[in-house]
Amino acid sequence: MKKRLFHYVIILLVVIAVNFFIPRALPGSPIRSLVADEDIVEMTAEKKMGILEAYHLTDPLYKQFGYYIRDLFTLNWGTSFSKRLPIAQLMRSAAKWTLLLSGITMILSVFTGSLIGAYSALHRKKGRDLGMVLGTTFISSIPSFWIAILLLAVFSAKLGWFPAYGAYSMWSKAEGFAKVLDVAWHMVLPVIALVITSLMPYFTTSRYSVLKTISSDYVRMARFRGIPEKKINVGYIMRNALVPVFTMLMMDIGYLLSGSVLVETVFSFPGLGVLMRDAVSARDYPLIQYTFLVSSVLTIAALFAADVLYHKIDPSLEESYEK
Amino acid sequence: MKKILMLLLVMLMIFSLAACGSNKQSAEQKEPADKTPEVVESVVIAITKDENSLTPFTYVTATGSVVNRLIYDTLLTTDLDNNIIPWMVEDDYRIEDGYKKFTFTLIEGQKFHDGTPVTTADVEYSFLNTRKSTNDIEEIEIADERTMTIVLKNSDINYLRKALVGTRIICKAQYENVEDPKTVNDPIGSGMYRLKEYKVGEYYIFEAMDDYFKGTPKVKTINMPIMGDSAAVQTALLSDQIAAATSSIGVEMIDTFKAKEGIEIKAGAGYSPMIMNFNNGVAPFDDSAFRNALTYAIDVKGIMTTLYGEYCTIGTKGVVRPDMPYAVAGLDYVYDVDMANTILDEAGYKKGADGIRIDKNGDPCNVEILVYSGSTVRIRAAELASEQLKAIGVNMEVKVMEMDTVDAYVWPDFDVSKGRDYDASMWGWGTSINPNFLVTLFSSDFTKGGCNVCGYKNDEMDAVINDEYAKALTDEALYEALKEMQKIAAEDPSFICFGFADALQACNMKLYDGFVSGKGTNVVNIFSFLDVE
Amino acid sequence: MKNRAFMIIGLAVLLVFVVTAIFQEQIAPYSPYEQSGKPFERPSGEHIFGTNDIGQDIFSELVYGTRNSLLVGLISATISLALGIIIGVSAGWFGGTTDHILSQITTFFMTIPFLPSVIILSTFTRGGIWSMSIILGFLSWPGIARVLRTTTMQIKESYAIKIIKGMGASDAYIILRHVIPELLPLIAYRAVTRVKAGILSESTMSFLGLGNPIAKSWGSTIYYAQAKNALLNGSWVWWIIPPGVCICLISMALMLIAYEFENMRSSKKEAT
Repeated sequence: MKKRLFHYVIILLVVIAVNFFIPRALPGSPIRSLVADEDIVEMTAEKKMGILEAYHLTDPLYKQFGYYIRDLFTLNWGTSFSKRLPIAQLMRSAAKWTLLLSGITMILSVFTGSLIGAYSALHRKKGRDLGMVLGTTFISSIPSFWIAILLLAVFSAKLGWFPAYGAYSMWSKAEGFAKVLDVAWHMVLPVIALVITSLMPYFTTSRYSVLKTISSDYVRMARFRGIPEKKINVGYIMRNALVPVFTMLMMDIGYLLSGSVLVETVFSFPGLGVLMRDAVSARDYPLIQYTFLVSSVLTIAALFAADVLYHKIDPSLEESYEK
Repeated sequence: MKKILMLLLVMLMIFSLAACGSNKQSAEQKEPADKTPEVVESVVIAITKDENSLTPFTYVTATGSVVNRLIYDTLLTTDLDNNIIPWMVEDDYRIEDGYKKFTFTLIEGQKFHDGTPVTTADVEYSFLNTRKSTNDIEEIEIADERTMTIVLKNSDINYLRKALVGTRIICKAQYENVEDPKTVNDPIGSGMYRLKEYKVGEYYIFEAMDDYFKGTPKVKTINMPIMGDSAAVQTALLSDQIAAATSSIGVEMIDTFKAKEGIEIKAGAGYSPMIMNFNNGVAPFDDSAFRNALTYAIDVKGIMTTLYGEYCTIGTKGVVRPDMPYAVAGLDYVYDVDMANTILDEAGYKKGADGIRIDKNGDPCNVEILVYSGSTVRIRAAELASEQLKAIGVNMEVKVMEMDTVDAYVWPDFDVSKGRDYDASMWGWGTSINPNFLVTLFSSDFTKGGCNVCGYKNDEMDAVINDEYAKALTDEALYEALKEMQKIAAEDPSFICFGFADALQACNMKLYDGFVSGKGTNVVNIFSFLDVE
Repeated sequence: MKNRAFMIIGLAVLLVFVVTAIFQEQIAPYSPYEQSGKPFERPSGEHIFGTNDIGQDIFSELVYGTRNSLLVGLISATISLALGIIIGVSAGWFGGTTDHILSQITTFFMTIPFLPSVIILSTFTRGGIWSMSIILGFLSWPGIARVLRTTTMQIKESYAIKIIKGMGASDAYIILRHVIPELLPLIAYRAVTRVKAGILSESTMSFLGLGNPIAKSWGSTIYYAQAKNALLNGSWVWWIIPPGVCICLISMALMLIAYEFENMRSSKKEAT
C-alpha cells in the first residue's frame, strides 16, 4: 500500500511541474484581456512591460517557477487576469457548484442505472431485457451537449418551465428555503442531461454482476432451500451487485469532478468546467494552472481510492503485481 | 427495491414542487416597476462582464466605460448625434490657439457622492493622474475654484474627444494620500448614480443621486446582474426578466425580438468596421494592382447583406463611415469579376495549369487568411470571400486561430514597428470616430500609424498626413486633408473595408420606456435616465 | 441467437454512413460551401433541412460532415489502440521494472483530465483532422493500456501459457501467437468503442469551437447553430436536431457492434 501511495505522490509532483509549463507554452500573452482595446494602441511599450512585470511575466522562467511553487503551497493563488478576482475564491465557488451538480448526478445515475440494470437482468427471460439494452444503448449514444441543448430548447425556451441559465436567480435575494428551491429549480435540466448520458456504465455493470450472482451457487442454494425470491433479490443479489457498481463510481468520479464542461457550457452553470474553458480562451495563466491542478488532484485522489477498493475486492491481482 | 422507488418518487415530487415554487417567485419579481410618470422605482439591466470596482484605475473594457459613465461625470460629453456638448462646464468654454488652450468654468452645485463639492483641484488631479491624457499637457492654470485652463504642448484637435470627453473626474481627496490608486475600491464620482452595492461576480446596484445638478434621474435604482452568457441575456430579455443589457443582440434574433410584445430594437449606428487586412509587404499583396483587383473580386455588399441583412452600413474605399461630415462620396466597392480578372491579366498574373494565378516571384497565389476563432461573423465572411476569390484564380485558405495567436502574427506586441507575419487577416477596429483614425491606418511613420498593421506605405498619403493634416487649424482645413486621404486610399487600397454593423440592442419598453440610443452610443447612457433640454 | 440481429442492424447503419462518406459529392444535393439559398430558410423541397446562417444547405453540410467524423474516429482509435496495445501488453507481460515505469506513465496520463487537456492542446494546433485525431488518440490510450495489462497478466498466469513457456518458446512468439489472439475480443470491443468515442469527441470539440470551423462537420454545424441562437428563434428544430441524430445513430451502430464483441468474450469466458 505504501508503495502505491508513493506512486501517486510522484505523479502529483510531476503534474504540478507540468502544469506550470503548459499554459506558458500557449501562444499569445494576456495583455489583451487585461487592457481595454482602444488603450492598447495608445499604450507605450514601457507601460505594457509594466503590466507584465507586475504579474512576474518578464522574469526568467525558473524564477516564475519559484513564485509558482511558493504561491501554490501558501494557498496564495493570486488573481485571475481575465476575471480580476482572487483565484481561490473563484475556485471555491465554482468547485462548490460542480460538486453539487456532480454529486446529485452521481447519486441519481447510480441509482437509476443500477436499478434498471438489475431489473433488466432479473427479468431477462421475459424479453424486456433486450428492450432495455437497446434503449440504454441508444441513450448512451446521445452526445451530452446535444441532449442538453434539446432540453434547454424544449423545456426552457419553448415551454418556459425551467430557467435557461445559471445556478440561481441572479438578482433576487431569496434566502433560506426559497433559495434552496431556486437552486433546485435551476439544476433540474442540467442534472437530467448529465444523468441520461452517464447512467450507462452503471447499467451495464449492475446488470452484469446481477447476472453473475444469479447463477452463483449461493443463490441456487437459497432458492433450493425455499427462501422467497424477493428476499433473495434484495438481500443478497442487490447487495453483491452494488460492490462493482461502487468501484465503477469511484473511477467515474475523476471525470465528473473535472467539470462537466459541456453541460455547464450549455446551461451557463458556473462550475469548474466553464471556469477552465474561459481561462483557456482568455490565456489567463494563473487560472488555467489552478483549475487544471485542482482537476488533476481530484482525479488522482479518485484513482487512488479506486485502486484501494479494487485491491480489497480482488486481492489476487494485487499479489501478482507485488511479485 | 420498493424503498428505492419511493425515494425516487419523493425526489421527483420535490423537483416539481421546486419548479412550481420558483415559478411563482419569479412571477412576483416580474412585476414591472412602478409606473408613476416621473420616477421609476427600479430597472434591471444586465451587464455582460464583471468590471470590478469600475474606477478609472481598474482596467475596464468598453462595457465598463459605458457603465461607469453613470457614476463619473466628464467635462464634455457626446449627445445622441455624437456631437460634443458641454456637460460639467458652462456653455462659454473657450478653445484657443487652434486646439491648444482650453478654458472653462464648472457649473455650480456639483457634488461628489460623499457630499463634497467638485472643484478645479479635482479636475486637475483627474487630468494629471488617470491614464488618458497626461503626456500631452504642458501646464494647467487654475483661476479659482470653478475656472481653469488646460494648455497642451501641441495643438491637438483630437484632445476634445480623447480627453475632455473621456476623462472621468475623480475626487482628489479620496486618492491623494493613497500610494497605489488601484487599491481604492470605492468609486466616488460626481455622476447621477452612485454605486450602492457590488457583489463580486454577481451584481451591481446603483442608486440615483436625487440632488444631481442637472436634475433627478428618472430611475431610482438600477440593478445590474452580471450575466456573461449572451444566450442567457437574450432569454432573460425575452422572458421579461431584464429590461435591457449592455450587449448587442445578433441579427438573427431580430425577428424573434420584434415579435415579442413590448420589446423595441434600438439600432444605433455602428462605428466599428470589419476589415480584411492584406500584408502589404508580402507577395502578391505587395503589388497595388493586385490589391486593387481584389476589391473588384469580392462582393462586399453581398457579404455584408448576408451577414447583417439591412442592419449595417456598407463600407467604401474611403474607409470611414459614409455619413461622416468629411466622407467622400462615390468611393463604393464595385463587384465586377471580369474587371478583376482583366486587371490581373494586364498586371501579368498568368493562370497556371490548375487555374491558380502565378505571382511575380513565380509562386502560385495560395494565401492564408487568419481569423479569430471567437468571431463567427468574421469566420463566415472569410469563408464567403474565399469562395468568391476562386473565380479569379486566387486560392485563399481560411485559418481560424485563437485571438492571441492571430494578434501575435498580425500585430506582434500591439506594436506595428515590430513587423508582421501573415498574408491576410479578417480584422476589425473598435471605433472609427476619431478624425485621426485614417492617420493611424495609413501613415508609414509608425509613431503616427499605430494601427497600420498592413504595413502600408504611400508617399502621397504621407505627404498629406505630415503636411496638410498636421498643420490644419480649422475644421475645414482638416476635412480637406481627410478627403484627400480617402481619395488616395481608394486609388491605392491597403485593405478592404467591409462595413459597419449596427449596434442592435433590445429594450423591454414595458418595463422601462426611457431607453434611448444614439450614434455610436449604448442604450445604457446618461440620456436614458435623465431628461435634458 | 437474437443478439446477432442487433449486430446486423449496427453494421447496416454503419455501412450507410460509410457509403455516404465516400460518395459525398454524389449524394449531397448542393456543395455545402455554396450559398445555395437565403440564410435561415425553413425546410422545403429544395432544402430538406433548410439553410444555415449564410445560406448553405444544412443537409449537404451533414453529408460532407460524415467523412470528417468517420476519419477522426478511425484515426484516433488506431493511434489509441496502437499505443495501448504496445504499452499495456509490454507492461503486463514483462513485469518488473518495465511494468513499473510503464504503469507510472499510464497512471500519469490517466490523471490528466481529458477534456481540459484536449482544450489546451487544441489551442496549439487549430483543429485539422490529423491534429485532432492525434490529440484524441494520445489522451485516450491509458484506459486500454490498463485493461490490457491486467488481462495480459491473467493470461500469463494461465496454465496453457505456462506450458508453452515451459516448452521454451520465445517471448515474442508467445505474445504474437497466443496472447494477442486471446486479447482479440477485448481489443475489438475497445476498438469499436474508441471509434465511437473519437466521433463523439470530435463533435464535442467542434461544438466548443475548438475544431476547424471551416471544415464541415456535425459538431461544427451545431456550433454555428448555437452561436446564432438557433435555440431562441425556433430554427433549432431543423438545425440542431439532425446533426445530433446523425451522431446518435452512428454511435448506436458502433455500440451494437461492440456489444456483440463483448458477448463473444463473455461467452468464451463461460466456456473455459
